[in-house]
Amino acid sequence: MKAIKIFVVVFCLVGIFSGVGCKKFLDEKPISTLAPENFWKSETDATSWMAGIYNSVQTTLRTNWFDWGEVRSDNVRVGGTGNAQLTMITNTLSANDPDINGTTQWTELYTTISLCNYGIKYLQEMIDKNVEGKASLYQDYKGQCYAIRALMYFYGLRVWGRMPIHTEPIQSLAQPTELPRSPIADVKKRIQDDIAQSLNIIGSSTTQKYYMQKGAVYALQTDVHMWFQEYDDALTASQNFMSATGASWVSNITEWKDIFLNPVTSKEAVFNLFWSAPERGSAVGVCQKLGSSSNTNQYEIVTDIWLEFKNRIDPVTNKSSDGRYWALWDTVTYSDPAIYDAAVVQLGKFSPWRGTPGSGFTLQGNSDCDVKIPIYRYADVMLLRAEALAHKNRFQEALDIVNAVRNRVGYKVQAKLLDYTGDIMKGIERTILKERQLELIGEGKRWFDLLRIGSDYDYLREIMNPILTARQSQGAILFEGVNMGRVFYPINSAMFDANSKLRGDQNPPYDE
Amino acid sequence: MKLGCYMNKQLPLRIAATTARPNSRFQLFLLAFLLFSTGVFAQKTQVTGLVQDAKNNPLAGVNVNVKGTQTTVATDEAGKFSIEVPGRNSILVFSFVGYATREEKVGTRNTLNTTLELGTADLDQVVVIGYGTQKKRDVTGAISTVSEKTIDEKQPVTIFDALQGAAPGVRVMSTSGAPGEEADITIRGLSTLSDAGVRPLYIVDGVPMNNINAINPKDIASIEILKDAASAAIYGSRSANGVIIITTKRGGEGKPQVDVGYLRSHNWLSNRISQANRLQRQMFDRRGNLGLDPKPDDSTSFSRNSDNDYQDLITQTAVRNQVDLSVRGGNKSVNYYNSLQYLDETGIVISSYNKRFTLRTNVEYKPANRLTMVSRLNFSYQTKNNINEGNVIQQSLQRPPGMALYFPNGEYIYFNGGRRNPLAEAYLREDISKIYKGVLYQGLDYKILESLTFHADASADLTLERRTYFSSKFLTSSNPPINTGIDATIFPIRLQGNAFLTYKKLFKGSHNVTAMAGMNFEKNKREEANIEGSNFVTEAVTTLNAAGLFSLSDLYSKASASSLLGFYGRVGYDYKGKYLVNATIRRDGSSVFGPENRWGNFPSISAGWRFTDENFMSWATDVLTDGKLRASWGVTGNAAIGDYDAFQQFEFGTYFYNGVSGVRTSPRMGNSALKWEETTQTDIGLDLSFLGGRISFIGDYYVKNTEDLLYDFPLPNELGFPGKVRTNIGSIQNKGIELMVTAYPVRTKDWSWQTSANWSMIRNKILSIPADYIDDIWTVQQGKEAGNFFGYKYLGIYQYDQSNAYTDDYRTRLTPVFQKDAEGNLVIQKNMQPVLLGYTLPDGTAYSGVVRKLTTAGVVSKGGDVIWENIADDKGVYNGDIGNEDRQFLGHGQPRWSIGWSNNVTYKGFSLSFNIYGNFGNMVYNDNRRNLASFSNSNTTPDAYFILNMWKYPGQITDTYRGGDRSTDNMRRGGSQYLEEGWFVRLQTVRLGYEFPDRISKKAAMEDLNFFVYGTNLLTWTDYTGFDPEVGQRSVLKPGNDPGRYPRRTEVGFGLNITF
Repeated sequence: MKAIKIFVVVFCLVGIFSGVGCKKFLDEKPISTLAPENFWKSETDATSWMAGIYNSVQTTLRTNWFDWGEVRSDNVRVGGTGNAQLTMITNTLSANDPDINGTTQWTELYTTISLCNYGIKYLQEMIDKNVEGKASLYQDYKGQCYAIRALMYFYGLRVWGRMPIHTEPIQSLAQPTELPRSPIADVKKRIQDDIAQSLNIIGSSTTQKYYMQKGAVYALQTDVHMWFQEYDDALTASQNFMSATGASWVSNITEWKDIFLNPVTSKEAVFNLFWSAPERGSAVGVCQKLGSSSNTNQYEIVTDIWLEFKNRIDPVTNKSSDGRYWALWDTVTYSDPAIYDAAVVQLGKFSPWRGTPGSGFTLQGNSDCDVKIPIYRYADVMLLRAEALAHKNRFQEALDIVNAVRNRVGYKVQAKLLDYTGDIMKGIERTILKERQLELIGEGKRWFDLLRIGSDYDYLREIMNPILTARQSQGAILFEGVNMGRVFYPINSAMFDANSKLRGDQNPPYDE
Repeated sequence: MKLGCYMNKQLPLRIAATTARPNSRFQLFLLAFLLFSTGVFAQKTQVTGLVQDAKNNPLAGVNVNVKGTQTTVATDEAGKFSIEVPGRNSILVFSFVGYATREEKVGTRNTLNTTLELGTADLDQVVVIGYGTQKKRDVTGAISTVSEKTIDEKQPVTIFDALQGAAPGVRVMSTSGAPGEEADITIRGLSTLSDAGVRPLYIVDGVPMNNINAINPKDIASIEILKDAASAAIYGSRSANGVIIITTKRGGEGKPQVDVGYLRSHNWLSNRISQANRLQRQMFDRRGNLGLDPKPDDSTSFSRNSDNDYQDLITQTAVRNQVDLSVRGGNKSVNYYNSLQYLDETGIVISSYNKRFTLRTNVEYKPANRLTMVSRLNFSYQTKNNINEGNVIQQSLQRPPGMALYFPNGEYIYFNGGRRNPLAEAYLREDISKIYKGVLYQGLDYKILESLTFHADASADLTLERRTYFSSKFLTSSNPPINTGIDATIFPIRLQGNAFLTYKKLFKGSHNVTAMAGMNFEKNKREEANIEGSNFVTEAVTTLNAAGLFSLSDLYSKASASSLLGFYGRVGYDYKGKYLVNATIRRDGSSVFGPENRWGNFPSISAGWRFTDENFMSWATDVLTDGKLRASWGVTGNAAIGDYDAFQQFEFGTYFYNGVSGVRTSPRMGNSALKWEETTQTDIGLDLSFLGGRISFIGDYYVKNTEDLLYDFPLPNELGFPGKVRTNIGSIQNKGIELMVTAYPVRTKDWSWQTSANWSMIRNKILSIPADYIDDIWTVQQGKEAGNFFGYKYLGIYQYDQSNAYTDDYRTRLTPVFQKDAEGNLVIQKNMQPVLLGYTLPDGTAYSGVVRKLTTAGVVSKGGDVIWENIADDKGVYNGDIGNEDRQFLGHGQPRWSIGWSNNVTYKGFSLSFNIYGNFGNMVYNDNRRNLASFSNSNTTPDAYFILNMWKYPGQITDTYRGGDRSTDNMRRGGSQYLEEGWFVRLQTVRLGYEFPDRISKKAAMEDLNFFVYGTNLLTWTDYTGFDPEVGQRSVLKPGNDPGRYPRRTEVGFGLNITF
């Protein structure tokens, strides 16, 4: 029995000791990460958060700037041999195709939105407390959060149509996590409200080209109004854009090239997405998609566009005069359409010339590509403005913009109002769209232009159906009948798995 | 050995003195043998005798051993023996299977006759259980034991090889055959949904370990596998997947015993798979255009001027060399075991290798009468070169055989048409892991009273794992070429300790009471540092100081930590060994859970009834020697999650923008309500022993219900947490039957045959889950097994374009009727198409309605495309497109039942052992084959079968779709034509050994001399067409995918073991 007594005594002692010490012993806080309650305390915190948001924008648009905005348009044909490329250009997307899951998933887009939601909530707290006396800086940051959120929803709206709307940061499972898709009108309102909120507080720097500032928000506003064909509003927004950015036309092709190579000092650059491969540890998808030193690029620009540039001839010298011709291509290598057709053509738009203009390009490899993709720039918004002007029957003003775009790159042939007969508005609109197509090639704009012009996607069908017909031997599907729904992207199957409120609400004709 | 001496210095002087004694003994012993070998040894005594059973029948083959020595003889046919004993105080030990072991002191006798009683020696075996030991006869839980002998017979490189097929309900799974590859063990199925949570808890000499890869199998004395909750629950929060207790060897009383072993083996690719040769590749290239290939194939045509057999080129005959040395011995107050092993093996894929050095020292000593202390030291060093499977193995299977590997001047052709050079990849890409691991252990046992013992131990487990990677610039496709290097270090450290009291007393001769109570603490910390760089100034130096460019997000160091505190107790009672009850309780607190849910309780209870001890069973004792019915119930836990899954975290370090390091939410959401995953297991078992233990049977039936699964819950993708959230959700059930029979069918003086067979069946079922979902080609569905394949059912190939014809509702496929000539031959027009006359229904009647054609992802299927099964929606309506909604259950990814069969036959000095095991009921997705035939790149080459059988012309009847066409996605992932039967039966090991007779070995001053030849993985019976059907079973929800992993090897070798 002595043994049992000892046993009990020792056990009780251990129990008492442990009751005191256990709690502390088991308290293990993360060592290399930060608890949210220790954040939002200083200016550096706010600045770091903004860097995190822009980094997430990079992730979102790394390849999607092109996959969402351009691949399915008449600009592009397949360069490499991947399954994904064929799927995209034949209009045979589906919701559960491992080759294109990166494009049909909206996860990264919503991650950016979530980070903005955090920023909007907690930057307000920092403003209220005037942390380190920098309330005005936080106002600017909060304005950028609204602007980026609007930009993200605008991408979502154009790619998938109706989108679930999250505006609150999710911090615990107790919050509502599953939301259905909201109607277009609600998404539109969200975007417009965010733009309005942003414009109230965002900074108006014209030198911070790698961040959204007032000018970029007006650019976005113009773009949104043009998407919904609200031409008066677009004119107002673009007018504001002009005064907010203070941007002006470049004067020669070397300066034009600097929009992409040195946006910080470029007169036309408004908002480019910064990229540094060594900093980020990964490369932007521009080289992989359009022109790389390391591999066959996945896509190339169709011969017709190349020819369009080549044929912009100076009437006197009879030589190609549009500077963008050799700013985009190595015209020594690609000298005639047969050669261009046969090659896997590299687009040098975003790469520096090896020497003097026209000397070919120093292309980067897929893994060290750090092109700073232009998201909004002067010519983009001005050409949108030209469209709006045309719709408001201000034809000459519209053509003036087109001519300004041409003049600055050496193509002096003017578009004249007298040349248009019949439906003048439509004629001018087509001229503007062609100029947009040429000016913005490779920048992820053309697909959205195809969608927004006209009604019932008639412009899209007019342009794309003949091309898709030619690709029918590869299995291409035309935009007609039930397949009209393919103007949107499928929502990836994984999205339905994780959110029951989405089920049964796929974009037809895709399946879940 | 150096370390061993160092150890001794740390001990009190008295201990050092005692350990010195055996050394002098050893010298004496050597001297003695020297004398013996010259024939001068004369102090021995010859003892002869007769061994009989109770009925005075002579017993042949009885083991007669001089206690504490290696001297052993066996009785002859007449039951007689003759043995030399060193002196009059010697004790002879008589042992024979089915009989109780008997000891006799020699004394003055020269003739020693004895009688053996029927008994169950086997049941007196001591089994290691959690924080203690038990006699096998008293065990009330489900415990499997793997003995030293079983391990030795397999010549294993790692413990995993030793355990495969050795016990029912224990499955050893490896993903590839690479040397040094770590395997995983699962016990009684997969009772959780996360891959990290299926491992059992490993306890090596009382120390919990995360992996046991670095343990020398030759050091192992026994492995105990605690399968049911009653045995495992004492380990509480980490015991839900069972516990594997490994006990290493220790010294025994007696003179030093020196064991030396050498082993050498040759290994080669155990199974070649179908691969195209140059002609077949040419057939593939010319599929649409009959005739000779017009392109040149001279010495400059590097894409076409060779005929490489890649499987031959990238594999080699690998060699394994292994040297073992161990010394053990001791006396009454100290015993020791020392071992060294050096293993050097090359892999069957060129340039892969694995080298391992292990050292172990176990010392037990008694500084005082009531005090026993144990010091253990274990160190290992492993280095291996990891092969990049994608660039070496998968590329070599894809690359056209006609493509040259070298330029005429002998330089590698690194890239050609998007294909890599697998030889250059193997030689010029270095990925070396170096793992240093040390375990230090100090234990103490103090006998407070005769019935009460106090035990305390503390141990440190330190691992330093370094990975150095360098890829030559020639291997990159970048232009300009870039070389890259990585130097990554991981440093996990675990400190832990136990203290417990054990009480044991027999009351009134028949009431046995045991009790144990104690506590356990554990601190884990893991630190890591990573440097990645590129643009090296020279390739002659591959350390990272030579790198010219560093990526910011790849330079970091970080750390994480966790701690665990546990209190446990056990009480046991038995009445005359007839009625047995054991109960345990453990209370664990862990830092990885939310503050409110840190503590969990894990009770268990088990009972046994030895019905053969009941009077009413006495009639059966002649046949049924022992019989015990067991039942147990208990709760075990699982805590295998990230250290900080319960915390909301902001992250940084890899989110730069324009020179500013960004902060953002962790991709994983924190869940402060996290708690234990609880597994409740009920087990009913039956242990039977027939004919005095000559045949024994163990059977178990269990039901394991796991609730509050630690589940990586996929959050809606709209929330900004793509890395999911860890939650307690759903439940899963595993039910199974395990049977094991061990028998000695033959046991005579010269012959013996021991055989053991086990069979286990397991059924897994997801009882509840918040929402069913499909993950790649698997489903996670309530009411179904985990890891079920889900995809498109392949029904065949459309013969003609016109064969894709269905009735208006897509319900019925129509048969096209074509125009034929007078002889009944099909009329083919210039455009290669037959003339369609109409369609008939399956019953042969003409169909005149609307003819529909099925599309896949919107594209109309043609002749040569796959016919997929179209599935109706819940209203019974079929649509005209084969899409996501047409996926269905295709098969199980996890084996449903397994067998193991081991045999050991001896004849005089010869012994032959062989082991067979097999898995059944599962499917394997041959993704490698699918990938080869997916035409993702014009230079990817399908296998030979595909090329020979692919659809080439209208009307062809074949099972293989059209080559080179991707438009209708015939090769879609999930297509069932690539899902194959995964069953297999494998002749795992065969070993033939010869023990030289004493008269020869003794002449060479040896106690024992043993020579053996062996083979592993000699034969595999399977229907699977890939390298090996044993693939990817580690994954719970996504098992059985074969993307073309490092193939397995067949090994044949020989070895020599000498004992001095």
